[in-house]
Amino acid sequence: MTGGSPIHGDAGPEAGSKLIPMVVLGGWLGAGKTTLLNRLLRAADDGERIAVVVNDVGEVGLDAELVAARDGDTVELTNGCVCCSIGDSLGVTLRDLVLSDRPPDRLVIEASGVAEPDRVAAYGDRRRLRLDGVVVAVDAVDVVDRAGHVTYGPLVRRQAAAAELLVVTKAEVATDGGAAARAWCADVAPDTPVVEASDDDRWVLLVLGGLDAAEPTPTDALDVAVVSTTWQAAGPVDVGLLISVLADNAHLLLRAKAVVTDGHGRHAAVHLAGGRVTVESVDGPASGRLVAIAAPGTIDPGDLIAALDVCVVDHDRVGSREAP
Amino acid sequence: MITVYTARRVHTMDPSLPEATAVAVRGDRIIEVGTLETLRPWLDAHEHRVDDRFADAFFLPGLIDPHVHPALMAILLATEWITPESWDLPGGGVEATVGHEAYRARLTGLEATHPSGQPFVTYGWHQQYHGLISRSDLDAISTTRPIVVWARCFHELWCNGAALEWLDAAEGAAWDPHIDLETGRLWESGLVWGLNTLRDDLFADGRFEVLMEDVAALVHRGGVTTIADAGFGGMALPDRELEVLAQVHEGDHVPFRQYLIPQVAAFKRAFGSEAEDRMAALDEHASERIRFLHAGKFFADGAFMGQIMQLREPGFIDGHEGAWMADPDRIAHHIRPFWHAGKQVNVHVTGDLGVDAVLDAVAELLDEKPRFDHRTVLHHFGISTQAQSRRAAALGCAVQVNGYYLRYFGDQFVAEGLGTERASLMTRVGSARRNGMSVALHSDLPMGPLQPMLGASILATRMSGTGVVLGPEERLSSYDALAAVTIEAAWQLKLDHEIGSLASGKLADLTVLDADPFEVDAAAWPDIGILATVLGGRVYPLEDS
Repeated sequence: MTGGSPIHGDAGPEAGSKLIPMVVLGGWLGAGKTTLLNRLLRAADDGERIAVVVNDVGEVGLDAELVAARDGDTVELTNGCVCCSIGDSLGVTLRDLVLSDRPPDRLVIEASGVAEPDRVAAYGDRRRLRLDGVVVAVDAVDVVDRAGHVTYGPLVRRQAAAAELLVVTKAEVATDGGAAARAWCADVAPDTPVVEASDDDRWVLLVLGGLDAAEPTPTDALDVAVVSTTWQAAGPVDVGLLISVLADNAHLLLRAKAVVTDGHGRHAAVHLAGGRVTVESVDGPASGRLVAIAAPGTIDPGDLIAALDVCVVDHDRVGSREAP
Repeated sequence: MITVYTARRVHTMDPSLPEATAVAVRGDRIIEVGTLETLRPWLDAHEHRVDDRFADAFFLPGLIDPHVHPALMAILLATEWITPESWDLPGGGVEATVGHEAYRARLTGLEATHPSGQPFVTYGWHQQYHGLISRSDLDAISTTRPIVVWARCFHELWCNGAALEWLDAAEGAAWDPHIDLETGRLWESGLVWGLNTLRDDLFADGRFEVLMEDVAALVHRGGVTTIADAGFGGMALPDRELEVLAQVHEGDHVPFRQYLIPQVAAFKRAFGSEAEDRMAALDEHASERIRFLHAGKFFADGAFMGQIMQLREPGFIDGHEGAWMADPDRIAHHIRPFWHAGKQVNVHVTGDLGVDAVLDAVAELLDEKPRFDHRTVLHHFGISTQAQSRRAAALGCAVQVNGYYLRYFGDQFVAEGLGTERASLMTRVGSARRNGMSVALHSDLPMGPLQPMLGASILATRMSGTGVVLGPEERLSSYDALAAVTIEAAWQLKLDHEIGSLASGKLADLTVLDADPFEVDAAAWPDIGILATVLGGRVYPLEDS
């Protein structure tokens, strides 16, 4: 499926006029949204006029040979596409684009790095445009780190959870080839298709052709080079000890999560992400299970489980073990 | 010709020679500060006259308000004010209105006497003080006349049906999720849809000019001889503001100097890729009274008044989230061109998480290009930690605060926002001084009243609206509180060689008081009468004094 005129021409209340599909591109700061937009604009060479709305058109770094005309915050490209800044209000910008003499065939909105993309998707007159979906860029180099940040982490996770399509960027420069990022995607948004930005620009075709064409990525087809280790606590857990075991192994693990009960009957969720261990109290119930993800060959599951077993308050009972 | 102004006491705010009784002026400059006795060598050598009309009064250096928004104040002055606190406005005093019933009664009363055929716009509604309001309340007052209630924090409008029609809100609601036709509410980005129509109506028929004259009167009444617009270009279009400023705030009759700091984001919006050039060319518009600072204004987190600042753990009591006005990781990116060009940086920052983001940016830029004496100013500085105060000091930053927060929102923030410890320590100025930072005060007009003696009083007493002293260890000494509206404000504008203290060679800007602030209790400073101001040696008496 390639570009061309939009295929989702459901007749709206304004009979005869087709609804302009709109895609929101989200993702944390530096996740590569601008690079994606640049590639998108360059790919749109078959007559479809895409209007890309960005936070600051000056920062998109459009290739000079692509620029046909520049008028303040709006850049006309040689292939008929338009790139413009959000300006005072996204609603006003969208209206001006859609009601202009030459309305675009497709809208792509760049959400700010700290925005909730689904809130951005709420803009726009639904009598004239149709939300195709939310695409979120996931930075292979540092998404796990970002998601573990005490303050920004929840927002990074919400952004991914809001996506209809996740695009893993910078996999080629990540030391693990993007494995951790893909595992993270599967964890945060298990039913959402994941593609790599370098993947023959499959994501470009999806964005231009309609996101509903994207199939959920089957877990076994993920081709993610990670191994997971599952440990079941055989009783109440010394949470402080558990934290120190995870911290000791933080350099070897991509991610770990456990929900356990301590010796006083209190439930706690312990996370390892981005090399950091965080703990929060939860209401329960606690499964007593820990799942850890690591790149193949970096850690011996047996050693990890032995270390974890020590965390059980009653040492007489030893945790059962499962390994994939 | 030398003119010697005599006073009962002159507080120079120059620690080398703190007190005097006479100031000798030639042209717009001070020749010498001292006594009639010590001035003899000058007076014996030159023709002079002694002006003793203020012989029983007290001089401070001309007061400085380094962060105001004249154009925004002007547009609000075109509306009817119903506010939770009292205000002294050019059109007369505004009494405080507190309570739901009181608010409704005032709203209904003012609407009834408003000229027929005109939209009724009122400013100052505050949910905590006035209770909930919505379209149905306003429809009950009138279904034909547009009624717009503009929230005290600016970021929200409530409309009746006629006003929704007037502002074309139905079209706006189709495009923007922040317009709710059922409750008549326009907020955040939704405000943009109403604002242009509102502004055009409120500024129609040359009213912008007239209202800017009213703003000038407010500046004078506050005893202020220098203001800085910390967001120039943000309200009207920059060119329009320049035109009106040149017309209204320029000329010998204008009793204050005005320095403009461009709001960088507003210039980018207005001029796109030409924004940098337009800002660089501003000096061409400089005139006697109106100058441009080689500085930029940037934003970190949301407004303090609306409790949308960004907080570190443990956040707000009710768990709501703050807002970013700029991506926190991109602050250094926005500032970078200014930093590398050697320009001064001013950042709006209100919560401690915002302070982290700004200090991270400053540290990053210092690593990139070390600068001495950069005087990066953290504006508002609502919630901060002791560690941040020390770090900000170590990085060479200064803080500029609004005393008003503490007086009008201190009690409320204790009870409903932050709890006792953090709310009591808002505006942490005592520590800033102890850590060696410059502390200045602003009104952020119209956020707070343009009355530096009131603001300084609040910083010295830290008295809340209910008379509780919030964070006594963070009080400023009388000297530091008055320095915050004189020499420290001047320093933060990089104008301390010209204004802010009284010394030989500096500009002859004075504020003339009827009592000595160092003799009366700081709590009584707002009651001190301001008799006149002197700007560049020229006397501008206050009319009702």
